[in-house]
Amino acid sequence: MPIRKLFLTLSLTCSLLNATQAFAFESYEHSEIGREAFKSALLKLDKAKKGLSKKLLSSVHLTNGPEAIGAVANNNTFANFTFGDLVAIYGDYATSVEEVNNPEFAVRVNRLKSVVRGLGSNDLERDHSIALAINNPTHFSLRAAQSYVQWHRKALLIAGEKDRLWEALHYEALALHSFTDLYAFGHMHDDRRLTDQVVAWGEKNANRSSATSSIANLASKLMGAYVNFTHNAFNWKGAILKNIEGDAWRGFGDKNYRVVDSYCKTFSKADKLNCTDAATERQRQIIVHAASLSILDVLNSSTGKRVKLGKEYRAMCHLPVTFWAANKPIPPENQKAAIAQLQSAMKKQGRPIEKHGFDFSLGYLKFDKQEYRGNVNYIDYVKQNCGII
Amino acid sequence: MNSIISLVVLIMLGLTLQSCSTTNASNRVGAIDVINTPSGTIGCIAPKIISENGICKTPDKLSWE
Repeated sequence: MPIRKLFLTLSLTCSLLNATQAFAFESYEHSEIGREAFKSALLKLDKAKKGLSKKLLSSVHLTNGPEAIGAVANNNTFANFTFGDLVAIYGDYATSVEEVNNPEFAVRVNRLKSVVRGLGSNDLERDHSIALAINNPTHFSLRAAQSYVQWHRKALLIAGEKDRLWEALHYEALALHSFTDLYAFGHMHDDRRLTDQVVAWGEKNANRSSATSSIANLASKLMGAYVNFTHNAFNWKGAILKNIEGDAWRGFGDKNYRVVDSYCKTFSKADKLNCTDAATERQRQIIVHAASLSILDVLNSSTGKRVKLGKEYRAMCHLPVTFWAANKPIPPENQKAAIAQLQSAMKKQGRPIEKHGFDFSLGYLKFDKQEYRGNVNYIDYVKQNCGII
Repeated sequence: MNSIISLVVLIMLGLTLQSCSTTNASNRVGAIDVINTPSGTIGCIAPKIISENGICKTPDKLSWE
């Protein structure tokens, strides 16, 4: 094989691998956060009283082990999940605790475990998640914060009832899916209006006989979080985030929880899961700590130790509410040539933009150079629930 | 002779700093903190982050530590 051809083949292979990685592990990231936060909450619990976690996990429909939480129908445990599995499943693959704890859910258990742990993919589950992503306001800004409050409250209330800790942990996982989404920069201020604007612009211009029309045709087809222009831009680029407690960190989005450094991107898929990327270390510490506080309060409630009044949502003090060093993407209508190039590049990679969305990691799409900074529009809601106003 | 040596040293220093300022995030070498990110905007070498007044700074201890 001529050297030039070999070089081209290798380059294409590398670019294909890198591009695929940019869209992987989203569910796995939720799963990792949930798993680590649960572990951290159990450690905190045992620090206060030795052996308490073991006692709690010996209660009905729970087990001492990685897959600690049962899925229950007709009072029978028909499957066991890690807490991380449940954080990943709720919101993206199932919308309610009733749906997961239903005999009909049994057929989905093994394939969902594989998907959310990043071990494989499944077309049926992918279609399921896309259907949910088309209308998922509880993953964004104020609605996500409200959703957390609603389900965490439910978890706290039922945790104190006899033999209901397992159920409380399901509600807590549902709550924490929305909660952890609020650490993704693309979810902090995108309440879908910007996406709707892109789609509306596309629909308006789709029939024009100009260079605008092909891009507009494309935009008119884009719906849902998977193909959200602003969402993808902010999640990939990130910003410096700060919470009410005063912690500041570089935060990214829901495809960059662990790996953003190009050094880590050279790792194999399995090794990447353990890559200690310095750029994301603080992000991981803060999210896991916040989620663990929330879980800890549910576990404590089940022992009869009530959460202090006004501090039920103390984990929210750790949610990012201020941001700086951010850049908005240049609106799609002002970078038509770049979108056409991206569309062509992604098509060559076998990842059509219509299905995989705007991939900012390929470098075609540009950002406004002017710095974008401010507070999230739900900051008062966070302050109020965190107990400081 | 001394002035020629000083000039050469200055030019080399300048070239070194210029190469650092255009370093990609993966190349963690160089005497300065600011880097150009792949998106063309400025970032800091981890674990440093940009402070609110735009300076690369080692972040404070976490609030619970």
